[in-house]
Amino acid sequence: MVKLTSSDNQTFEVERKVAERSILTKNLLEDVGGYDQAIPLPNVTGPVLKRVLEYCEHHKDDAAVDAEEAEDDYSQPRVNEEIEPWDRDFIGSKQEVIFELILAANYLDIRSLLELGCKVIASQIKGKTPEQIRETFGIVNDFTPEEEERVKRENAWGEDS
Amino acid sequence: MPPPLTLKQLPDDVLILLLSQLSPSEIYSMAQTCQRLLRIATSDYIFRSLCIRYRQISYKPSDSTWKAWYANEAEISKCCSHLSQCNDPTRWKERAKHNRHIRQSLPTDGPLCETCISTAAVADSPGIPPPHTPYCRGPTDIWLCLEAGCSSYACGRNYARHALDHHHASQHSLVIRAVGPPEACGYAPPFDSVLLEVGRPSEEEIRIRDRRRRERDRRFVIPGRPLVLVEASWYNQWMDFLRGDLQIPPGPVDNEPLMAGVTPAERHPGPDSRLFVDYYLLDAGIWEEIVVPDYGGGPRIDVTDLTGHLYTSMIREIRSYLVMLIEVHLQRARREGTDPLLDGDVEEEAFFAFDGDLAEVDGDGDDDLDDIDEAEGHWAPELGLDEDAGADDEDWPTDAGPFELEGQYGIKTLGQWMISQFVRVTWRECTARDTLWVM
Repeated sequence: MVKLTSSDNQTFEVERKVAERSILTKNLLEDVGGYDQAIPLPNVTGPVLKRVLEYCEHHKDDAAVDAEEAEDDYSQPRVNEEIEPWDRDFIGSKQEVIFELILAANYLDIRSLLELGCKVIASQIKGKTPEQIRETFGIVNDFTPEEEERVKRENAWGEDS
Repeated sequence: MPPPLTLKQLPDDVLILLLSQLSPSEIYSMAQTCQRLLRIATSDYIFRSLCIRYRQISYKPSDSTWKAWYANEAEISKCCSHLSQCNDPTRWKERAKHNRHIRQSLPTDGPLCETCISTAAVADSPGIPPPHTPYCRGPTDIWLCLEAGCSSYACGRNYARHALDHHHASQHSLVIRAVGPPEACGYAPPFDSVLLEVGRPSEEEIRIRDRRRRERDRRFVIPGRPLVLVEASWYNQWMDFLRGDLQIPPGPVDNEPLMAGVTPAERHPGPDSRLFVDYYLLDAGIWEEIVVPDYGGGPRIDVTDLTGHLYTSMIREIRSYLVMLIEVHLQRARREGTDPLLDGDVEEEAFFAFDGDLAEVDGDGDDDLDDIDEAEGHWAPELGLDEDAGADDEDWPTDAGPFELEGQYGIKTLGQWMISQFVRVTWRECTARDTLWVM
C-alpha cells in the first residue's frame, strides 16, 4: 500500500498499482524503492485527489503505462478512440470539474485521464461559432477589430475533409 | 474557496493537447476567440498534429515548417504514408526490443533467417537428410518486418526469399534491410549528426529503376530451354546491379575470356572454363531480349556449341547443374505443393545446392560457400528500407537534395533507433505514391 497526501493534508492509502497509474508517483516509487512515508502531492487538493484515485482504481488493471511512452508524444493523440461509458459518467460534463481533473492529471502525469478530459472539452467545442466558444468557456475577446478581421480572412487550417 | 477553474487557467501544453483533438474548422473557430488561442492554434505542434491526422504524414522537409508543409497539399500528397506508419512509436519500440534480442542471439556465421534456422534445425535432427535448401549464410540479406506487433526477420531474394514469403503470407509491406555483420553494427555516429534525408529521384534514377525492374524477376535458367554462357565477372556485376548493390549498370558483356584460338577463324569456346567461376548460364531468350539490346557485347556462346570430347568436363558440369536444378524444383514442388514446371525461381537454390555438392567433392567443406558470399559482395555496409520484402524492391537510394526529416518525436526516435541498430540508414521509395525519398 502507498500513502498519498494532498495539498490540504488529507492522506489517502491505495494499492501500489493504483498509485502507479500516475507516472509521477510511479517514478517516485521506483526511485525510492519501498516508501513508508506518505508521498506529498502539493498541487492537488483532497477532493480532486479523491476523484483521481477513484479513476485510477477503476483503471488499475489496464495495460501498464510505459513511462517513456507517456512522456513521448503529445502531438499524436489517439483521436478516434471512443470514450468508455464508465469514463463518461465519471468525468461528467461540468467544466470546472473537468478542468480540475485535467490539471491534476497533467500534474500527476496520467495520460489517459488527461486525454479523457480534453476529449470531453473538445466535444463541447464541436459545432460552435467563435462567439459561442467564448461564451461557453468565458473567454474574453482581446483582438482589435483589425486583428479579428485578419484571423477570419486567413484560414490556415482549411476545411474539414 | 478559490474561484472555479476556466479554460484560460490551463497551461499551454494542455491546450495544445486539447486543440489536437479538434478538426481543422474547429481549430479555426478556436483561433478566432482570443490572442492566446490564436497563438497556440498557429503553433507548429498543432500543424504537426493536423499533418498526421489529416494527411497521414508524420515527417516534413527540414527547410519547411509544419504549417507550410500542411498547406503544401501538392507536395504532401505525394509522400509515402508507409514511412509515417513506421514512425509510430509503438511500432519501433516493439521492433527495437525485438532487435536487441535478435542481435544478442545472432550467430555470426550460419543462417539468420528464422525460417532458415528452423529448416536447418530440422536438417540437424537425426534420420532426416539435409534438404538442398539454401539459406542465408551470415547476416547479409536480412529483412526486418516493421509491422506493429510482427517480429519476422527473414532472408531476401539473394537467398531463400523467406522475407518475400512472409510478405505474401502476411501482406505486411514495410521492411528494413539489414546488411552487414552484426558486430559491425551498433557503433553508430551520434544521432545529432545524422538526419534522415529525403530527396526526389532524378530522371536518370527513375530510368535506371525501371530498367532494373524490367530486367529482374526473370528465370535465368530454365531446364530444357536453350542456354548460353556468360562471362562470370560481367554476370556478377549485372546481378549486383539488379539487386541494387551497384548503382550503375555494367558495360557491354565481354565473353572473350571464355574463347580460345588465335586467329579469328580458329576462335572457339575455351574448353577449361568452370561453371560459376568463369561463366554462368543464361537463358538464350534473355540473352537476346535483354543482354544484347541493353548491354551489347558478345560473342554469343551457346551450350549447344560445346560439342566434342574437348568439352566433356564442361558438359558434365553443366549437366549436373541442370539435374540439380530440376531436383530442387521437384523438392520445392513437393514441399510447397506447387507445379514443378511452372512455379518458382530455383536457380539460386540450385546454385547453392550445386555448389555445396562441389564443396563436398573438393573435400573442403563450406569454404567455397564463404568465398562465394564474399565474391558476391554482400557485405556492403548498407541498410535500406523498402516497402516490400524484396518483391518489388527498388534498390535505388538517391542523393537528390538535402531534405531532412525531423519530427517532434516520431522520426527522431525512429531514426535514433535505426541508427542505434545499424551503421547507416537508407530509405527507399514506396511504390504506392510517387515521391519522397529518404536516404
